Amino acid sequence: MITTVRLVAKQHRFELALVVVVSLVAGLAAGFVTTRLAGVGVPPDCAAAWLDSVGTADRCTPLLEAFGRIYFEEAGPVLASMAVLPFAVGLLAGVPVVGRELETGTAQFAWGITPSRVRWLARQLLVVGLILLVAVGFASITSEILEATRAQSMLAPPFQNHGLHGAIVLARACAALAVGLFVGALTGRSLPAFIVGAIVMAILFMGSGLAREGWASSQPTVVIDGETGNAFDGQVVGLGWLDQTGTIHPYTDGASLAPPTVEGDVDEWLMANGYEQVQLGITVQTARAWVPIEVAGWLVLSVAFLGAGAIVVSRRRPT
Amino acid sequence: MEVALAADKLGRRYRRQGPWAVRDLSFTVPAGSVTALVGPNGAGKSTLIRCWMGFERPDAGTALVGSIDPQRQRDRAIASIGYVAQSNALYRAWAIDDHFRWVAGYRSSFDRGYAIKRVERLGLDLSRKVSELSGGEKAQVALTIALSLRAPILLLDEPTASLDPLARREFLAILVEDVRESGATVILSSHVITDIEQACDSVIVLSHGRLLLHDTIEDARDQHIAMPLASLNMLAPIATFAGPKGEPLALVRAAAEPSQRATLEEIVLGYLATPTARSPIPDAR
Repeated sequence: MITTVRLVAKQHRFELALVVVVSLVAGLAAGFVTTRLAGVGVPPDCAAAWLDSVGTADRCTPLLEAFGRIYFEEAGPVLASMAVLPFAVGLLAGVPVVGRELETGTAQFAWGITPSRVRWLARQLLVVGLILLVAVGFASITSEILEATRAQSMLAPPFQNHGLHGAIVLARACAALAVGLFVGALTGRSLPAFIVGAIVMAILFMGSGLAREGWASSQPTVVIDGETGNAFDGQVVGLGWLDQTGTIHPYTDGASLAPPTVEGDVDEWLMANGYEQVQLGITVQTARAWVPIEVAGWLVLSVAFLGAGAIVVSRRRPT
Repeated sequence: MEVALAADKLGRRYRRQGPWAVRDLSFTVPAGSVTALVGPNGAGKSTLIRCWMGFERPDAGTALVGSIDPQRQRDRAIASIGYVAQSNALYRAWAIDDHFRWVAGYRSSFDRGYAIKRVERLGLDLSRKVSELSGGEKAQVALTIALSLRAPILLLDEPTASLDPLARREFLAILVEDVRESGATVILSSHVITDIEQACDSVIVLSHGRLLLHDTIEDARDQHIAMPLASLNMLAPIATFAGPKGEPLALVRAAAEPSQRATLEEIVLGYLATPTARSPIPDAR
């Protein structure tokens, strides 16, 4: 087993080194920024005062400003890098597993030796996947701690940084690995596979965003209090109409709420007739329920692409 | 006679409606024989070997390894074969011994002790990376791995293509010595005819994917005469071709006296000069 690990790591040393270095840098950066944020030492009552919009004590203002500056100037870029990192390193690790073997002709040697190509693939994947998991796992944990530090202390809604920390980062990296492996096996060329893989991942990423929006809008909503909107810690999903009975109607149903005879501005008519335009959101508890769904979604995609990759490997002719 | 390899109406083409790489090949290779697979580039030698490896899916007929169809039981077929690919594609970043250890992890029959001994005999350091080896050394390492698998069948796809004449001779000498000991069945694809006489006991001549000749070298030489075209008289030649000095020669199929026997090179050249050998198999369109 040690021999397999050593040899597979040696075979993919450039890609794996890059995966480890990039993930390590991102993870360490997240850890460093976390310590800087924690070092500011914003007391919980300062954050609470700010969130409740009741003004902040003089002692809080410089602390909140310092915290905000570090958050926006340092934590922002670090967390933003987590949007790209799992896709980039996943593809980087996944594409060469089969793609480069086919490209360089070594698949003929390997597949001429190993009676079971699936077993060969499993061994390759075990090593590459393990290194990827550890490296990206480190970055996902430190980014999660960074996000937790930020969320404890103040400011923006907890879901502003959705997908930029924690398990989702790791799950996305797994999916990118699987997509890279599959596309590499299909094309048999590294660079085209990387480009195609990036396009596939971009489509899947957009798809996950749409799925999240669709899911959120199907959840029970609450009306966000207009005066203390900043204190709302759930996820804003859009606007709606609140009638006098307390029933919430989607904003897009506005035209059907007004009589057909109304001409001109329907919104104006609704507001003049007892409807209140309100901001709708889902509670933080509800919104958090999406995280395991998205993680599971990426993992299911990973398994599907790995399965498809295994089928391609077992049926493909080595070039 | 135990059959080690067989082709039964085997056909393979790389594009639907495209030309056939091999077509309608039917023959058997007896166990324990060392057979040369000869033909020009594009004759279908690699395709045929790759069909036995299960790397190519036949479009017609079957390729059999013993009684195993590699398309149905590739694991069993591969487990009984030692294969050297045309490109000697080893892992550039790995040392020689890395390859041995890796192979040992997949094939329990791999004799690492033998492989190490053999490589040391060739004067190669086990810790040398493949990227530092010459073409000949890579070929030797690839052959060592194939031989050390102790497989009953060896499929060697132009293993000597990148070797100089001396290295080629050495390579073949080692192959012959080892195969005599092990009794393995060998298919050696090559377009260097001198290689064949040194190492093989049978010959298969392919051109444009068609089988032109399959015989033991002894029988082939006993049954063919090469003579100047002028002295042909009433004999019907298989084909005419240019001799070493450019003189027109004819290859005739007839029982030959020892002094008349054609050389293997003349036989192969004669078959490759036949009209059948020169015309590609038409597209299916």
